[in-house]
Amino acid sequence: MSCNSVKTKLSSYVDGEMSAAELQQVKRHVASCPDCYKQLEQFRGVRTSLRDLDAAPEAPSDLPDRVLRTIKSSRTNYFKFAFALAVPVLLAAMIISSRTPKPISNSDRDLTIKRQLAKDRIFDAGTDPTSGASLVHYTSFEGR
Amino acid sequence: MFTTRASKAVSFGLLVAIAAIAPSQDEKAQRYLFRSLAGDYRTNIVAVLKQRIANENGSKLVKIQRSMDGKTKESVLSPLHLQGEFLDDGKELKFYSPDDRLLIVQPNNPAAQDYKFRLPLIQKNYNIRLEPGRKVLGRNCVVVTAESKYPKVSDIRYSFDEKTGFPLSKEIIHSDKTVDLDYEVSDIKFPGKLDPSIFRIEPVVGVEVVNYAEQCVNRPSEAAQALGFVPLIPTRFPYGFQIQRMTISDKNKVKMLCLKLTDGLQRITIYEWVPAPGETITTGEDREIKLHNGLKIVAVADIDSGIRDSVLHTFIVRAEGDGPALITRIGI
Repeated sequence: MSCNSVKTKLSSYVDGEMSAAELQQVKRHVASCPDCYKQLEQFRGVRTSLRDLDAAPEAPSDLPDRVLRTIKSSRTNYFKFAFALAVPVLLAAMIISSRTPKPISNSDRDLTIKRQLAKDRIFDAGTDPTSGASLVHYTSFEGR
Repeated sequence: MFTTRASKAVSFGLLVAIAAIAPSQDEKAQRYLFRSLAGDYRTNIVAVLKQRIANENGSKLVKIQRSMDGKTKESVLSPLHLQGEFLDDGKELKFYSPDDRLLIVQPNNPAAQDYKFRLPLIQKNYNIRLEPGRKVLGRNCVVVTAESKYPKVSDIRYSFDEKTGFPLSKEIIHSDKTVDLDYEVSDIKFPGKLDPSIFRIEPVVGVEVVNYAEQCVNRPSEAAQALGFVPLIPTRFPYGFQIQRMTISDKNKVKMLCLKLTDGLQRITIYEWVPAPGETITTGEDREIKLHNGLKIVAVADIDSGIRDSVLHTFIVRAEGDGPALITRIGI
């Protein structure tokens, strides 16, 4: 498969819209072609950015009116009083919450430990690449 | 007659002088090995090396781009499922895993790989020998064997590029004399310039960035205070291994002790922590040996399993004095 042919298919590859046979061909080519690999990375970045844009909620059409109404109502004494009371209460709650140790789930502990082990091995091998230590891939360690 | 005698005397004098000045063969071997450990290549390097994948029938291609001032980027080119990029930009160490959409960042601490600590250990644990030269990629190589003084520990044979000192291949010679090719460079260039953008990894949107810091400790008491439990720290290890660094994981979700051991050339990392009830860490072959205040010990290493087990055994011996321990191994 040529570079030109692969480059036209990268978009489908990233979107998962490809037959298994084609997928293997593209994978094989990208694994041995730094140019196509780089382009694939760019595609992945663009796709993620677009997904994030899609996911962002649209502002409701009446938002400006609602904001104005809120500002007007905040001028009432009642609101000022409530606000004055709420701020210290919220601050106190935040301080207490930050100092209280939160229970950790076992899956969270697993992930923390695996990441610690993986990152140490990655950086041992990376900082001494000709030591023969294998530059493991994070997922390969995670999957153990 | 006089002329002949005089010329002989001069020649002998020269030979003595050369012998005194010129390094011995083994000194030359040591010089190449130590230069490589220090990463002192004095040139930009772009190399692709083929490295075996431990416990798998296959190899991977890793591209190394290294600037004259030591900045390094390593990219796994194939196989695709192992792709990832490592960067040492002199300030930070970064690892980007595109499939996991994960970027791991930690400060670059030169002390972590301090070759000055390792040199005396190498001299203590290995005989460094010069072998007959060979060619790799048509380049003259200085072949050096690091022969362990412990018969059970494998020897290591390096082929260093004669001109730059860059190691072009590394072989493991096991105690039964079988040889495994650990890696060999399949392509190498020495470009005059390297684009500075090579030494940058910018996370794209949607990539999780995990930052690690490192808390070094020097004494067991200091470690115990930081960890909240008393770790097992043997004072002696087999096969000439020594503790190079002792750190505490900074992620306070799980307080872990990390002991980095080395014999100069090979490394073992030991972790200790108190597992939570029902914790099911599946990092390899778990083997419960004993219970000692619920302490869990894991060894991670790219070396013979027998050597790794012997080192772990020193922790068991240490634990036996105090009570039982829970031992875990990771097969690499």
